[in-house]
This record gives sequence, C-alpha cells and structure tokens, in this order.
Amino acid sequence: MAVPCVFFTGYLGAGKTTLINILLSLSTGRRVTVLVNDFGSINIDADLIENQNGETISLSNGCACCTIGDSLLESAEKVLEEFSPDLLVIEASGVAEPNRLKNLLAGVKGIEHPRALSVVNADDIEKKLNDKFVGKLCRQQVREADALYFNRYTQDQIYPLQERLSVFHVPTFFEAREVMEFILEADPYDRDLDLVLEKTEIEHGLQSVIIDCSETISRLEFEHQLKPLQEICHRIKGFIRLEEGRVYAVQATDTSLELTRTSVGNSPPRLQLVCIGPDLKMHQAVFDAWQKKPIKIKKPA
Amino acid sequence: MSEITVFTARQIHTMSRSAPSATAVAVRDGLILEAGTLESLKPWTDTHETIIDRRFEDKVLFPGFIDPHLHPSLGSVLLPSTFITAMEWNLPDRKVPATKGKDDYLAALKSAFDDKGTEKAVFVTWGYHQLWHGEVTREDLNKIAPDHPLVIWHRSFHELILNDAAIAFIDADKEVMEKHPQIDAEAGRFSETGAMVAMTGLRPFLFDPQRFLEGLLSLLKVVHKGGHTTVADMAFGIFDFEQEWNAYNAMMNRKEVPLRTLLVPKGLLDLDGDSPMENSLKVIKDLEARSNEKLFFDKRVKLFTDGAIFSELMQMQEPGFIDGHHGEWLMVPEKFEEAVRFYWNEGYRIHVHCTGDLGHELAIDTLEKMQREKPRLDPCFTIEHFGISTEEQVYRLKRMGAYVSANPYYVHELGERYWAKSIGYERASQMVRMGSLARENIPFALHSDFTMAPAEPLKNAWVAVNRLSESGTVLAPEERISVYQAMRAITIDAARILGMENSIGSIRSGKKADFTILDEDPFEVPPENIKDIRVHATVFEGEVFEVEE
Repeated sequence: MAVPCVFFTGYLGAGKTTLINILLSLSTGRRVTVLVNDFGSINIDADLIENQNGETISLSNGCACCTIGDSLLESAEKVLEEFSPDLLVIEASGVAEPNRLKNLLAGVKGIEHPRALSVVNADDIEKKLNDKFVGKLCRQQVREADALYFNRYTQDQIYPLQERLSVFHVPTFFEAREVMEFILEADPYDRDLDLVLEKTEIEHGLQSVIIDCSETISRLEFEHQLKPLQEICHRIKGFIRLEEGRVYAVQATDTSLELTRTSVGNSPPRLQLVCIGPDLKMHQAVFDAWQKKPIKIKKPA
Repeated sequence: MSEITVFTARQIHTMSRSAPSATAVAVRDGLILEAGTLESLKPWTDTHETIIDRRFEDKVLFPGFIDPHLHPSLGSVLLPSTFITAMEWNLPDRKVPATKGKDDYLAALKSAFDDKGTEKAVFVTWGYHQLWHGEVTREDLNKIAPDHPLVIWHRSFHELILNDAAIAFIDADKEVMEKHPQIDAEAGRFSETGAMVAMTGLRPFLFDPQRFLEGLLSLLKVVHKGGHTTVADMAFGIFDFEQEWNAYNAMMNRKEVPLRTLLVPKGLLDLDGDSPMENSLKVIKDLEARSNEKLFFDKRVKLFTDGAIFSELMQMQEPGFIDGHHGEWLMVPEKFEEAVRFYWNEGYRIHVHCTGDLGHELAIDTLEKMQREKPRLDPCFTIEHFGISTEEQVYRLKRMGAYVSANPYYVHELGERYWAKSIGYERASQMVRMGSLARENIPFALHSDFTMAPAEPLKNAWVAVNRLSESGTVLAPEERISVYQAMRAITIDAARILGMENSIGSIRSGKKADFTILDEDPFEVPPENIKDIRVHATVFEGEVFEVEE
C-alpha cells in the first residue's frame, strides 16, 4: 500500500514552515510524519511533545517530525519504515524544483505520485518573479505545482495573481484550513480541524465565525440573506438544508456562491456556516441582523 | 645548527620579481637562506658547514607548485576505480590513454575486467561519457562481466550504468526501478536522481574505510607526481568531517608525505537548513583547534552559489542555455548573503563556488554589499572556478578587491564539443577568461578541482597559455595568458590566494624550502609542449622526494 505523500515547495519566506507547524498541531487521528531540513523554525506546543532527540520529535497526536540529514532518499525510506505513517509530508528546500523533487522521490519505495503544494507569499511574489536571481525558479515552482496556497494575500490580489501566474487550472487555496483538507484528504467539516485552525487564523489576522443553520430555508431567501455576509467575509463554507429537504454544501466568496447537492450518508454533516474574514468583530451588526431571521448564530468567541 | 645544503640547477625561476633568476639555492632546517649563484652564496657557505647537492644541476627549479582547490576525499573514493577516459590521464601507478568511440571503449573495458575485474566485490570504472563513447548499455556490460558486478561511473558523476550482477548487488527495489523517470531499467542506466538510488546501494562499498585509505594513499602519489608541495582541500567535510579528518590525519601527517594541506571547511553544515550560523561556526572552530603543521585550518570557509558545470547546472544570465533549461542554486540567494555577512563580520576569508555568470553576479553583488556595510581593503574573497563570467564582472571584481582561483581545464575538455551545444560559441569559448583577469591585474591562481581535472599544474598552465580545445583550435585567443602569468598562478599567486605568501610560493630568504624540479623549462619549450614537461622531483622543507617512474 503506497503511502500518500505531499511536499511543500516555495521560495524562502513563503510560509512553508508555518504550514508545518499547523499540521503538526492537529489531532486528526492519522499518523503524519513530516520531514524538514532542520528544527530551527519548528514551533510545537510543548504539551504535545512526547519524545525529542537530535533528529526526531514524536508527538502525542501520532505525528512525528524528523530532519532530512544528508540524503532525502534515505531519510524518507527510514521514516517510512520506522513510523509506518498514513501520510508523509516533506518540507522541500527553498530552491527545490517540484518536478525534480518528484523524480527524486520516485526512488523511494512505498511512495507513489507525490503531490507538490506550492506556497506563494502573495505579498512579495511579484517582486520575486522579477528578481534577477530567482525569478525563473519561482515561476517554475508555481508552474509545476499540483496545488497552490496563497499566503498573506489581500482580496483584490487574488484574481490578478492567478492571472499573472496562469494557474487557473490548479486548485488554489487561500486558507490554511483548505491546505490541511487537501493534504489530509479530510472531511472538510471535521470539527477538530476547525478548532485548531480557528486559533491559527486568528494569529494570521483572520477570524472565523460559525453560524448554526439547523432551520430549513428557501433558496432565494438564503441567497438574499447571505449577501451582507459575503460583503464582509473572504469565504463562507458549510451545509444548509433547503426547502425541499435536501442538504446542500455551501461555498461562497465575496463575489460568488455555489450550492452543491450533497448525499447525507451515514454521518450527516453539521448544518452550519463557517465564515472567515478579517476583523469580523467589527461587523457584529451583520451577525446580529442574522439573529432576527430564523437562523441562529453562534457569537464569535 | 644543521649544515647548509646548496642545490644547484641549470636554471632557478624564483618567481620573485625583485630577483627572478638564480642557479643555486641555499637551504637549512627546511628554510631557504637565499638564492643566487655559488659565488654569491659564499657569505653563508664560507661561514657554515655546507653540502653542495648537484643532482639537479641540469634541471630547472621552481618554487613548489601549489593547488589551492582540490578534493582529497573525492580522489580517495575515485582512484581505486579503473579509469577509462576520453582524455589522457597521467596517474602515478598507471598511464591512462585517451579512449574514444564505443568500440574502443568496450575493448578497453573488457581488457581491464579480464585483467583484474573480480579482485574486488564490485568492478568500478570511471570516465565514461556518451558524447565520446557512444551509448553503452547493461547488455554490453553483461557480455563483458556475466557474473560479477560491474559499474560504470559517468565522467560527470551524475550517472551510473550497471550490469545485471551489479543491479542485484545494490538490491534496488524492482518496482522503483521500473517506474523511476530517471532510471532506464532496460539499459541499466541510472541518471541524476536515479543515480542517487544506485549510489545508496553502492555507498558502503565505495566509502569503505579501507578502500578510502587506499585511495588516499594513491591520491598522495598523484599529488606528488604533479609536483605539488602545498594543496588546499576546498570543501573539507564534503562527505563527513570526522571520517575525513581521521583519514587525513592518519595518512598525511607522516614524515614520508612531502605535502602540507590547508583545509577549508564548508561554511554551512547544511546548505538548505535554517539552523543558526553560530552552530556551523562552532563546529568549524572546534575543527580549527586540531590544526597541526601539515594539516591545518586558517579562518577560511567555502560557500556556494550555483550548480556544477559538468552537469550544465550553472546559473546563466540571459540568453541562458540554448535548450532553455534552468541551472540550479546550491544556496538560496538570501541564505548566501546571510552566510557571507556572518563570516565577513567574523573576520573570515571566504571562498565562493561560481560556475555561471548569474552565479558570479550573486557573489559580486553580495561582496559589494559587504564592502558598503563594513569595508575591508583586502576582503580576502575568492571566486572559485570562474567558469562563465562577463568582462564587466571582471571590472567589478577588480574594484571590489576580489581574488580568483580559476579552473582552466574547463576550456580544454568542455570548451568545444560539450558547450558549443549548451551555451553557444561566444560564451563557451570565453570560459575562464584569465586574459581579462591579467589585464585588470587581479591576482589569480589555477587549480584542478581534482578529480574534475588532472592534478597537474603544468597541464593547467598549458591550457591557460594556449587555450587549445580538444580538437586543437584556440578558443578566444585574447583570453590566453603569458607563460610567466601561468607559472605565477601555480606558485606565488596561488600562495597569495591561500594567504600563505609569506611562507611559500617563491624562492627567497626565509620561505620554506619547497621546490619543484622539472626536466625542462616552461619558458624555453614551445608553449604547446608545456604539459609534456616531466616533474623529476619535489623538495619539501629541504628534503628531496623523487617522483617514481
């Protein structure tokens, strides 16, 4: 059984290590082993650490973090054997080229089709693309990615950036939450995932508000009611039940709304909306306005 | 007080500008008293007991040759293998002829294997390159060695070709071999990242400590045969600090070894990592404390900008490579700058690997920043290799006070066939532009980067003076240098680049009595024949060591 593998590429300062820190702090029930160049910027809650020696940190949530040492090939094989992880994540160096790294990983028995997640610092990517030393490399890291994560973006940058990088065909994420979902191939509404990410997003200047939506609503009514929320949030995701009784997955940004019918299966999803945006506390009035309608809102913490 | 020994010679080139020529040199206790004629030495020889040693009286004497950039550990791993190469290599225990074409290659391989192929667990041969030797496959190798592991190690070090027995030996996973994009299981060819897979299986054999020591012994003979008395390991710790130190200390510290070695460690324990620079510095300082007379450190570090030239991984400015591929950064530019600044502020001397002109640009831009932040009149900042650069960069190097340690051999082996396809005639022919360095009076040395080029200073001098390509055309004649400049670059200027100009590099009072004795005079023979001059012996700190036949 091949172990799924994801590696983070992206130039220095893009935010790869931040993602690693988030990933290591999650309790997902899966054994995730992470390979990093060194422990310098790894920042793990001391409570989580079970065991630590020079090359390995073992965590109580089943995760482990190891240094790569001299040979990525050999250390990958070693951790696969030692930890039998459900998922292998690798922090590539700032100058790594995704395709070349995939070639390298092809030499590791037990890994198949590693996926490249390219981390882009939206704040300085423009400058980097024009840098005489690393412009070509940065463009290559984006072009060869299987998925992109834009970090430190402002709302108006998203579309122009995607256009500039010609990456409309590649799944693009704007929040760490989505990256985690991609990596873990996880249930997007995993409650544990939410709690930790909430904390992290707040650290990054974003807040999330969770609105319970247990009452049924008509589609038109929902679209109308969502508009004020869309104006203040970057993204809104969740599940609602529309008038005909079916459950729909909600994916909305400030300019778009997508409703997709969802089969309920054995564990029906929680009917709620997760709203993510900057300074949501400022918009208390908007959330209060919701409360008058038959949709109950959980107040921001 | 010991007695004085006076060596006489047909001609002594002191490489001192103040007194360039002599016919006798007086030596005592490993130091030079002075050079001159038997007559002019009388104040010394009349006062003290003297032996006149005339054995070199029809030979030509130079200061001991210096190679400021080679890799004893690489040599130790490589030399135990059989050399079958496109160019000629003059090793002490064997003379390797130039082999071209697939038929000749396979014939040479068969002959070597039949001779002693089964002596070791794996028969390893180095030097193959498809541009000169055609496409050799697993099947070809199976015919020569049906039962015994046989490995071809590509000239560039980036590819391995294995026969069936070798594939079994490395115990690589079958599935991995089938699916790997850079392993051609049918042909037995393991390239780039694929080569790493094969290397994992071969490493215990290649790096076996006993084999390493044998290789190191062989390397010391190679270095002596080239006429060296001082060398620098310009990437100490390339495999492993402790293994290398232990081997060097055991082998090189002996009295029978007529060589002193300066060790320049890699400046970063880990080129990719985030660990604080202080950690690397601490390791280096601990190493420095171990210095002894023949094996020593000197507050120097080695850093890297771009990738290897033999694998076309240098970083190029526009218009780049003909096929559009990208080179590689060995260090992220920000990390490179951080490392330079750190060691600059610690007062270290910095050596920087640069192969492409964009790699040079990074090094020069960074040097310029350092000179603005914390000026140093003598920055002790050396560009290593000096592959492809621009004339404008040479002017900047001059203004910033940098030195250059050049690898001229690229011009000879890569200049024509390889690079005419890679970057076009203009930039390929002007590779290693030593003529520009000389015009700007930038101090520069020549090195071999053994095993990338033969460890023969006279060969390197020959390339620098003639710039002859493989087929005999002169590449960029304006970039040739004079014989005098070339000989300086393997003696006094090389000493200067290593900060040892006060004790070696020229023949004058007070310096170490290190000499290289040649059968003929590079200043007298036709320039094309400089590489053929035989090194007869070296003198190391006053003691004679003849080169074995």
